[in-house]
Amino acid sequence: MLLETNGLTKYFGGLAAVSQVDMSVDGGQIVGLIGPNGAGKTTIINLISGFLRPSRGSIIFDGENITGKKSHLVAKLGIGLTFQIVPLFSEFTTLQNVVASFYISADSSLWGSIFRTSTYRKREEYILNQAEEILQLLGLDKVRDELAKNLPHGYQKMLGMARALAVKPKLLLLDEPIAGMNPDEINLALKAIEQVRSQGVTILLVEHNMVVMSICDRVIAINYGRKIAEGSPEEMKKNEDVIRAYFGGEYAT
Amino acid sequence: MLRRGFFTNKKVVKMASCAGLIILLCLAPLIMGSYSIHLAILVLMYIIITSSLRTIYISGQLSLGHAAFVGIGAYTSAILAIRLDWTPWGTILLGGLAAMVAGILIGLPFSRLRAIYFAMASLFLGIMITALIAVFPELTQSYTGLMNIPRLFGFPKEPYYYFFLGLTVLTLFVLYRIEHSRVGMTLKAVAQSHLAASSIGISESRARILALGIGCFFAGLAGAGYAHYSTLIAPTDFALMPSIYLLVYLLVGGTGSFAGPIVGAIVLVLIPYLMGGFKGFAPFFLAGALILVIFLIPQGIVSLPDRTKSWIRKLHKRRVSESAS
Amino acid sequence: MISEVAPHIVNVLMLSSIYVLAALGFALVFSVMRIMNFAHGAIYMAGGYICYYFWVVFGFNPWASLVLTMLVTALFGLFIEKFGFRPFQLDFEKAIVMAIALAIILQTAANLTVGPTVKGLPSLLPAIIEGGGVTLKADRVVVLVICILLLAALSIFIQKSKVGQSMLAIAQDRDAAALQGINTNRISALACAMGCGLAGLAGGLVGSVLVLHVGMSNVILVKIIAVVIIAGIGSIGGIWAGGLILGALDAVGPYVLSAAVSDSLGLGLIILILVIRPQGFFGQEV
Repeated sequence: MLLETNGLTKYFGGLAAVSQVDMSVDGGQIVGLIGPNGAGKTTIINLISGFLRPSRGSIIFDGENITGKKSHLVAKLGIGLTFQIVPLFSEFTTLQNVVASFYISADSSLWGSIFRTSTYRKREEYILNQAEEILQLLGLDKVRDELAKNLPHGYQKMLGMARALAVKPKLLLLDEPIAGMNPDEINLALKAIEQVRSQGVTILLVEHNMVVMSICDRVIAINYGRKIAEGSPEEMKKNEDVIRAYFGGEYAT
Repeated sequence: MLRRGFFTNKKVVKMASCAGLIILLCLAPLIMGSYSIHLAILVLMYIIITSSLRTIYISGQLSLGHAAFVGIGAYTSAILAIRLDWTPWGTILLGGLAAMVAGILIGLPFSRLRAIYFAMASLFLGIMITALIAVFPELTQSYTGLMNIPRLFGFPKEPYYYFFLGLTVLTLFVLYRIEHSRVGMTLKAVAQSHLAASSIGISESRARILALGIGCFFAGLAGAGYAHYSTLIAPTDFALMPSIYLLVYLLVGGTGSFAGPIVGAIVLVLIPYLMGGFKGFAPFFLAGALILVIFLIPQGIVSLPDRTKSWIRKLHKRRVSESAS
Repeated sequence: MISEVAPHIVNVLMLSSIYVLAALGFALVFSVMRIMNFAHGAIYMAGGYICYYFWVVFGFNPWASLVLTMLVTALFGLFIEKFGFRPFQLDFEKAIVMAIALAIILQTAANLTVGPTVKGLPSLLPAIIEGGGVTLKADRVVVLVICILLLAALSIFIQKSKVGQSMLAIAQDRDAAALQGINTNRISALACAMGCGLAGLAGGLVGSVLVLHVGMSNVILVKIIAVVIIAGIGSIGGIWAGGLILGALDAVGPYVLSAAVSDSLGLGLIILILVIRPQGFFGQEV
């Protein structure tokens, strides 16, 4: 088990956004977290990635208790993250965005930066190559020199994923990776996610668009902050609780 | 190395022109009078300080109290040299280090503040540091100013010029390298999106404290050097208006490019002195330049060459399409 | 005992009310237009000198001079709103830089025309009030009364009048206010005019109870920003608290400790507030 949460709970004031969620993700899987808007899925992601502190419960990642650890430390431990609204380095180019994201593995010192020691130069060259690879993997190599703020929406979301990959994560958290994309972009994105998994990265993604279930190995359904069902995508499509949760809400066919 | 592309290679041209410029600057005192040398020293000093302000700026922090750190360097160095009789060569370095430590200490609480709050806090900090100078009159002679600071060299100005020239070259080299390296990338990343930065492992406050430490170090160094040149410093040299002026130099020169503060410092420091008897009117020119920049040239003077180029290109395109139709 | 303390208390109250008057204009402009008018201190100083010219040089009636000063600075406020601030409604950094440029211009003009000499305006009411064993200077009490009246008038204006309510609306959400049919440009111009008018008036009053000198613009600017920080950005009601705290510190501090230590402590307090509770005590979250 790569990731495990026990009794994960988060209160905002008196309201429980997330309540007693037990879930687990095994290495090498693509696990989907689905549920209607406002169900608490993004909150769960934020709790795992360290942007929010749990009110109760624990999070164990790769054998280590990471409950309440700050976000930049969680990133260092090997969890990569994308956001619904992609925060980009808008004045950097696409390539620079990814190169910058190799911060952890760059491990550079002030001395090295000033005097351009051979260690520094070798590492930066290696990072540049890896960045180019990631861009190719996600189909972003054509726009590598475009300023991030000028990219169309779909590309920006892919760039968010590219940046998360630079962290060399064991676990990649994707928050609504295909929201706002047109059908062509969605196809590309789904293919890219599978490619990423084939490189050995475990993926936990959040979506309310059911299309994404096609690439998931397992699906966990959340509503009103609680886990209401889990199982394979086929099982979930037939599950009454899940269908009821989406009744009257939005779901794509 | 002497392949065909050697002399047109961008990097080589850059390095060669820098070396050429430095050689010219080294030879300059031979034709400059004493007053010009003094001006040159001031310009060099402001180049260092304004560039150091920019290093703090690129991490997303607007410091409105930067002059105070110049003052910390100046007073530390001066007091150590006067009281403990240490050589100025040592105390100048200690002045820089003192300013750096102060910057880091201030960064600890301040680096978590949002942009406007940081700006306001730095404003008050700068004034408070100046006020603190008056709290210890036995050490600092309070508002009358600290006098008889030991000189770095003798009376002729040339050695001081070379000292500041060397200091400027060193500062610009280090700051340039830092900005164009991974460290610089990290600072700029934090300025653009602290959320994105966090998600890749960058601690925002660590990066901002680093920027403060680096920026304050060079500011303090310049201030300490100045103390042992002018032999007289007073709290008003490092108070609110000097800090605001530093910001003006940076903004007018242009914050987006490394050369911005250099250009800004040169232009805005020299103008008052070139106005001769109308020196009192110099701030009008400064304010005018500021207004001109925010209305017409938002990226500062340093962006003018590029803007004129693209403007000429646009004119050319229009003429071509007009003659075609 | 009371006769020793009472003048101090009046000094604290008077100083506080001057800080409040000066800060009110600044807070008004900031709340309605979201612009930190760094030129506010310079306008305050200019107001003092303009009043001097009306009162001492031209020999007008003191009260008329004050009113005229207010009108002049208010007109100036209209001018800077239209040409200096309105172009930068969306770009606050540029507006602040514009204000800095204006401050430099005004300050330099003062330096060149008046120079380092310190001037004073005659007292508004050169009498001494004695009562209950207490001796006070009448003009200081008058200033205090004026300030309280204006504070009350301004509060009522903002709470009760239609224009005042429009200002509150713009302060909360400029776009929403525009959608409701409020002419944001005109209201902003009015707010700026009022703010600058208040600055000029404060300068004139200070000139008559204290002195006029070219350094006063920077000194008051620092106090004003400090008051706004304590009150909280966006709050106009909390200004009185900021003014009182600062007034007390500045009036009493130099007696208890040395002036320099008192100054440093006051500034340190402001920094502490910025670090611990940057949104102030009465204001909204920015």
